[in-house]
Amino acid sequence: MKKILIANRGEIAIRVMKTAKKMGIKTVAVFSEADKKAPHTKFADEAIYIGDSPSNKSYLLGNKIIEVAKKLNVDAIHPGYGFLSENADFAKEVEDNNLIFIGPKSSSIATMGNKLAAKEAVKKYNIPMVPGEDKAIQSPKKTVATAKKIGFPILIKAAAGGGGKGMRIVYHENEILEQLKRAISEATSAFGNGSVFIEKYIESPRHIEIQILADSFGNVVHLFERECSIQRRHQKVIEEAPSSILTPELRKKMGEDAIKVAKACNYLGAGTVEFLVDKNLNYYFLEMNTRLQVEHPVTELISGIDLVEEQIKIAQGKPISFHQNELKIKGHALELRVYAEDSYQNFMPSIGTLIKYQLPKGDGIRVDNGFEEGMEIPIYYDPMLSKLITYGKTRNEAIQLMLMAIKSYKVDGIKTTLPFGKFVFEHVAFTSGNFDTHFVKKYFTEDIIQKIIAEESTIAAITALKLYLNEQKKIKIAKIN
Amino acid sequence: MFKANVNKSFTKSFNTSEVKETDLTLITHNKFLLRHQSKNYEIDLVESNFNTKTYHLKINGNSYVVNLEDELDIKIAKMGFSMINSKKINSIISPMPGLILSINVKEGQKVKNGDVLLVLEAMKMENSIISPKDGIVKLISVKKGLTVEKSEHLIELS
Repeated sequence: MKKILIANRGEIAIRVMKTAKKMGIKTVAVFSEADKKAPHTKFADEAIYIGDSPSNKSYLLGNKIIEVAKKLNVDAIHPGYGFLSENADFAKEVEDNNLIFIGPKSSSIATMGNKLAAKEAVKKYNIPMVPGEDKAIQSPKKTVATAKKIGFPILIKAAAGGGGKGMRIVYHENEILEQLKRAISEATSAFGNGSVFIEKYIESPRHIEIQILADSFGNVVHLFERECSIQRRHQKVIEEAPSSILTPELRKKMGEDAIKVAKACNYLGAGTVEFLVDKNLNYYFLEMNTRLQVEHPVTELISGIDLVEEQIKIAQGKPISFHQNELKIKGHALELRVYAEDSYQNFMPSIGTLIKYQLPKGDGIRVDNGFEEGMEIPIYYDPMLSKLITYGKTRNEAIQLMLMAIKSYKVDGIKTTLPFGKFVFEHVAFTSGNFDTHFVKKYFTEDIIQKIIAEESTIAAITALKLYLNEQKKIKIAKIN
Repeated sequence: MFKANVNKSFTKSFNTSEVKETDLTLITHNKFLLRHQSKNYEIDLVESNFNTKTYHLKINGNSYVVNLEDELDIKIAKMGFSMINSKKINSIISPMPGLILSINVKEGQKVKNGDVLLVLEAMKMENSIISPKDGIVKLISVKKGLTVEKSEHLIELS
């Protein structure tokens, strides 16, 4: 494998290229109209234009990407996450064109990409699952009846879903039709598949996932868990490894179950098995993500394994470079996703130009970043700017380092999730480890936000007045002189 | 006597003597430390204008634009020359750039507080724009399928 094309943009494209370069492999970037000057295009050895700004005219054009890959004599395609990463048809097309898809076989993607098919595949392995329907909704009327049977609240999920899209919680019977409509419409536009199903909504769950690797020699290992419970809009914002609630026994059991899930679909490469864990530490299989996850860096830091390197080696037909019993958790890692969003305005996308953009630096600080000063935030894609990751010997050390890093991460021109990060990492529920996926709803309430804004506004007012009086004094002295 | 308007949404009045106890020290260029009621705050000064008494500051990464008014400014304002007029929320403006996916109401229609007026798609999320009050839809300035900028007028209520 001499040259790989990264069918993605932003930080993940750069992240993959870094490892490829380390391994002596040449890299090809693809880009849309909006990304002409984006850092990932400059970081690659070669960069090629693939179309207009909207992703369905560029990053989602599988055929176009394969065409440019062949033109540039590429050996393999790394899909990153999002876009085409979990598109079985694309993986198949890549295979059919005698290129290597750095990821699982298209059949595994197809099985796990459909949550209903995934449930079916792992059924025989005796892995705990969330109560609910294992068929797509046919008639809204019947759904109301089923929902009543399962008991509210229920969760509407897109069979083809991911990243919280097409997902809706329904607390009351009278909301179900409107929410169903929204979920189906969102699922259709995001995944081209409007099939949705319902599940019992597990109250106060934690979202814990297991990283696995599988090679073509039948070896499957797990690289422990990631705790991803701090979410907004059902999307992760803060992740950590290890989780503060798993015992070594539970970790081992979940790890073994994750391996079974991978085996159930003949998995190859890096993948993640997601579980919900309730307050009594019961866990339920949620889904498997057949790609490299956004939050993979926390696993890399505590295990010392470069996951992209393993992905590439597995794709080259080599075995995993270590054995399960050689792996040990060392230290603690945290990740904050820095989104262009206004934390104080319900995490609304914040669009504009990065007038100032300075990243924190230092030992134990890693920033997987895709932007630079002066760039505009395109409205066409996911609004993530970077991932801020810190590593410490202990959880507290990682938290303290994170707070320092947030302080020295300077962004002007748009709003970000950095203030939200500060709020979480200082919050006693987080520092004590006693939190679940409702953190935002429980603690980051409108009242609290108003209090923070009022306090900071007061400080701003006092500072402005002090600055004004100081200047006034200077001018008076100047006049006397 | 001073009045401070912060981000056009928060006001605070104080006497200059009130801030005497508060220490403001310059750390480095355009970076200050304010000690207020025993708590430390690091503040970045982004921009300042002595003549208009406007200060753009950053606290914990959040932007605050402060506009100060002294007694003379306040007096002028009291005499009715103030430029700030309070408006009731009748205008629904777009909170972000996006695409109008659907418009769920018609002109002349009665709406209740919390009713979905339209659905705006941005960054692949569908956001329901809801009515902030009970009222009647007076005017709809956008159409389904249209792309809108941030702060663009969407719907007028009465």
